[in-house]
Amino acid sequence: MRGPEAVSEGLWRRIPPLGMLALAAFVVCAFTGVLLVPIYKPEAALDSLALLLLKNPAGVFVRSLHYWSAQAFLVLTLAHIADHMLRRSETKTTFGVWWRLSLTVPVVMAAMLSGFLLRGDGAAIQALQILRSLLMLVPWLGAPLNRILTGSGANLQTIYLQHACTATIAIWLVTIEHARRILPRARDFVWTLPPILALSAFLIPWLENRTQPIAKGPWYFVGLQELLHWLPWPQIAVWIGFAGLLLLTILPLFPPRARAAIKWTLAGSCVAYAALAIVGFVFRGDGWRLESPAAVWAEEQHFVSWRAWLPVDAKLVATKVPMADGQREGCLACHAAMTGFVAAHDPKTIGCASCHLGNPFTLNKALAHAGMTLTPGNLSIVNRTCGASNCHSEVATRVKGSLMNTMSGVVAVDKFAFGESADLNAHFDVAALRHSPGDTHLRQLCASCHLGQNKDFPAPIDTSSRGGGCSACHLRYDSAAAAELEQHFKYLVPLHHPDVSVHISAQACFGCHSRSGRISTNFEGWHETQLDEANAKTMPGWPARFRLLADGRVFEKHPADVHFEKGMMCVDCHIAIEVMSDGAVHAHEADAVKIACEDCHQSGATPSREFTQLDGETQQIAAMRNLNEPGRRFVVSQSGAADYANTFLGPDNRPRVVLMESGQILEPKPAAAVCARFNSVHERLTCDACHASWAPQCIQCHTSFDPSAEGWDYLAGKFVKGAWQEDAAEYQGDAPALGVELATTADGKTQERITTFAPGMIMNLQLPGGAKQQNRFLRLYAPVSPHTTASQARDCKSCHANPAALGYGRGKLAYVVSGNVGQWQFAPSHRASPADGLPQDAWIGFLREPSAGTTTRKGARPFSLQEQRRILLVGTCLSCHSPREARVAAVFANFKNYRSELGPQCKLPAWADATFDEQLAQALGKP
Amino acid sequence: MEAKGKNSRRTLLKTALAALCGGGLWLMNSLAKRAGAIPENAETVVTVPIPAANQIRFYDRAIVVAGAHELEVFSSICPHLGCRINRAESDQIVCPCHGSRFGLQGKLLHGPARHGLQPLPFEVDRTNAVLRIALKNHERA
Repeated sequence: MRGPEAVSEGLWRRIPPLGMLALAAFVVCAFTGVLLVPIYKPEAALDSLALLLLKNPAGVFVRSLHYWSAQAFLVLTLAHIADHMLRRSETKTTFGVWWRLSLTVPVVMAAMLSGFLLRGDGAAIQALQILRSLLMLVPWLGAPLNRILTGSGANLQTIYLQHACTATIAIWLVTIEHARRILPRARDFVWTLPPILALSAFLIPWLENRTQPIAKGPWYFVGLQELLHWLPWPQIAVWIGFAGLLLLTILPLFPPRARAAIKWTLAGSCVAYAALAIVGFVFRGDGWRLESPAAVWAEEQHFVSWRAWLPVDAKLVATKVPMADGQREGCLACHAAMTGFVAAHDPKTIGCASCHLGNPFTLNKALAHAGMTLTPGNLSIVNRTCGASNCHSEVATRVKGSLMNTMSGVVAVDKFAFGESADLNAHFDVAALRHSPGDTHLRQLCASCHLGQNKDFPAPIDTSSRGGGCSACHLRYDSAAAAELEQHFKYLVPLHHPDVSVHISAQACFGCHSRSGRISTNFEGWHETQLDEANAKTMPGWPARFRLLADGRVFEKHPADVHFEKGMMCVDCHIAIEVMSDGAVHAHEADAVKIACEDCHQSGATPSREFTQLDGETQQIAAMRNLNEPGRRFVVSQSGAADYANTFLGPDNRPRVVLMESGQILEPKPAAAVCARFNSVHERLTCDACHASWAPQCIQCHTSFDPSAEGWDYLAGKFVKGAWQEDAAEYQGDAPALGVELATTADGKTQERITTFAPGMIMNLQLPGGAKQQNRFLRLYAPVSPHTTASQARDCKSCHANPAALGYGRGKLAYVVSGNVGQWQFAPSHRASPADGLPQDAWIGFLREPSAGTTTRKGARPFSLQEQRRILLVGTCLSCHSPREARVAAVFANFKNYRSELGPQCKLPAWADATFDEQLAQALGKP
Repeated sequence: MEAKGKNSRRTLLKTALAALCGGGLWLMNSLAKRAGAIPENAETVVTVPIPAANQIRFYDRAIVVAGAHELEVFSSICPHLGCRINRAESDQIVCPCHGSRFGLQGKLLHGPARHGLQPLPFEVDRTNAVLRIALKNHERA
């Protein structure tokens, strides 16, 4: 034969037999194993290997050689067996040699597996448990086998000796008998060593860090692991193994045709096993779910680069590497001086890699930092960091389902406005948005407030830097940490870590909640203007009267919430269970709120519990804030759904609130007597209805899509073709409108209550569609708690004779008497919208029955015509009288019988007839 | 005669070798059995903090599940093949080795395990905010 085939054939012939190559790999493995003997300590396996990886680059390389020569030995041995099968050589040797060789196969597998177990890391400990359980399933011999092969307890001494002595000697003896050689030839090493050396140099086997979310066995047993997942009884796996081994052992005893059938069966089994191994190794991810190979690879760390055997700085090698959370933490060799932690998060206790990932088993900087994250709070990796199994896994799961992460309510309302969903209470996840017009609008204009938005670089939350998961709220920068961050880790080693604790700053909330309802800015007394920085600087009162935010928006001073004036921050009221979710699925933020003003401002007795009766989370928070003094009774929400960690009863049995920021203790006042005075008619009112002093209101917005512009897609993290743009014509910051919302009571019933509303969308929406652009006009009001509470409630007239409060819009509302009847007249200050004929800022038509679909919440509505008339009937009285007049107060106290108290000068509206009176009596009878 | 003698000698040697191996294994088993009979870790009660409400805490040998106001403690040893369970997802406890899933009351939700988690007796010390969990007779090898 000549030509390329001849060359190929020649080369093939020059390759030594697979068995000899396997023997060469085995010799390398045994030799490197001997070199590791002085270093390895079976009684402290993980620690001895960790120290080797940390301080002994030569040892790292020897261990790598040991590992890769073992893998090569296994692969070559299996290939050698397959080669024998293909050559039908099972009959060319004596049966005695054949069965001894066959029985060596499990010895080889045991030697390999014991090598894996000797790592002593998390996966090895789990694998040892599985091995022991499987051995115990072997009939009759289970317990002795278990004892002889694995010993007992956590000490790996027995396994070490079986690995290093018994298995090695057994394999070598059988190989000598089979190959009739003690050592391979030099040319066998020539073929075997280069690939082993290359792999050992560039793919260095590592130890499992505790952040790995799934315990996987070695690659050759991952198929068995996967099989055990599917089998109803693990005994089946033991029997399958026995059957395969038995068939292999007695193969020469069968006639040729049966031997072929057995070989096909064994080959088929091997293919099926390989398929299982691929599924297990490549696709099994966190929580034993099937994931993409990329996701699985990101979660697991099997090998590191060649840097591991580079020499390490002598000073570092001389440094004692501290232990943290039961294992060596190489990070602390450089970062032990880092300050700023509460005790629970001190790296001396939990290490650095528990949060920041990376590689704690090396003193090489580049290697240690490979795979680490500066932003461990990101929800995309939280299962391995804050939400790791022994830390805050349950909280992380809750937070992932919270509205701050899913933004379900925001998505539902937006898609409703875009005509893409009819259900305002439908559940969505912002991360699962696709590319409909509503979806792209959310992606570009809303998704930056998504808590799950990954943060790439650490920074405090502000209006231009949001997201970051847990860190968004729980990372608090003091001046030293902020200064260090400002200089972008200018120092060689950062020294000041921001605080990670329950001390949540208002700034954390401000980043997102200064938008949309603008609760944070309202609370602090700032109202958004349409000025830019340059224009604002020309305004009188700059800078004291204005505030420039990081995102460029300019706000103007308005009255701040009385709670802010008293020094309170968001988390002084909004407790953990409602902010981080109670685990239930809620459609909108208001549904997740568990606290109420009455919890602190109760005029009667305040419900309370002792510390030991509080739920565990509240106990934990109270203890962390050192508030769990003996005998203290903590306030419980009126709904009974939440306990307060920061609010307890004082000696007078009135609540005391300890402020997060200053530690000051406030004594909230009981509700004013007037709140209960007209209880029969006003019990449907929320506190906001009277005490919300103003709300930001944006009218005449225009939202359009420019297909030629580029927009930033926050979810994809890139610029995309086509951009959504929003323009507003007018911002107002005055008293909100009132309307009716559907609320769920503590006992699970729903009831209507009157609360504050603001324009959610009075907007022209221009949908994309090229030449066929669609225009939608939306007039939707949203129930809102503006967080602009004033001690002084709005007066009677500001509701009963105020067109804005009733939803008619701003303008002049007057009661005009003509003859014996009066008439309410309204002159709007805004011109009518061409789309629906209502004034541009209105919610409903003046004294008209409102149409359906005028709010952004299911069950919420403006006042019906009957309700408008009832409200205005009181306004009719107030058009002449003061509510302080005793006679008028008496009328209001018994309003069902108002007509009996009328004087001759009282002129009622024409609609106040007998039917109206009957309906009024009914309404007051059953509010 | 010569061949017969050779065979007899070989048979004798093989028998002796087998007996030696058997005896060695028996001896090793007996020694290991005695070593295993000495409790390596005499600790039968572990003390852990009471977790916060709706939290699950994993310890070496126990899982503590706290509801709103109730507590349950289970062995962390998976009833399938003995792995240490150390993962929870929402309202499920997940074995990291073969994916068995259990409810928060320890009930089996999804195999390959065939039983729920083993409950462990415990007592609550509210004064010190700790749980004392009894491990005796509830551990597998």
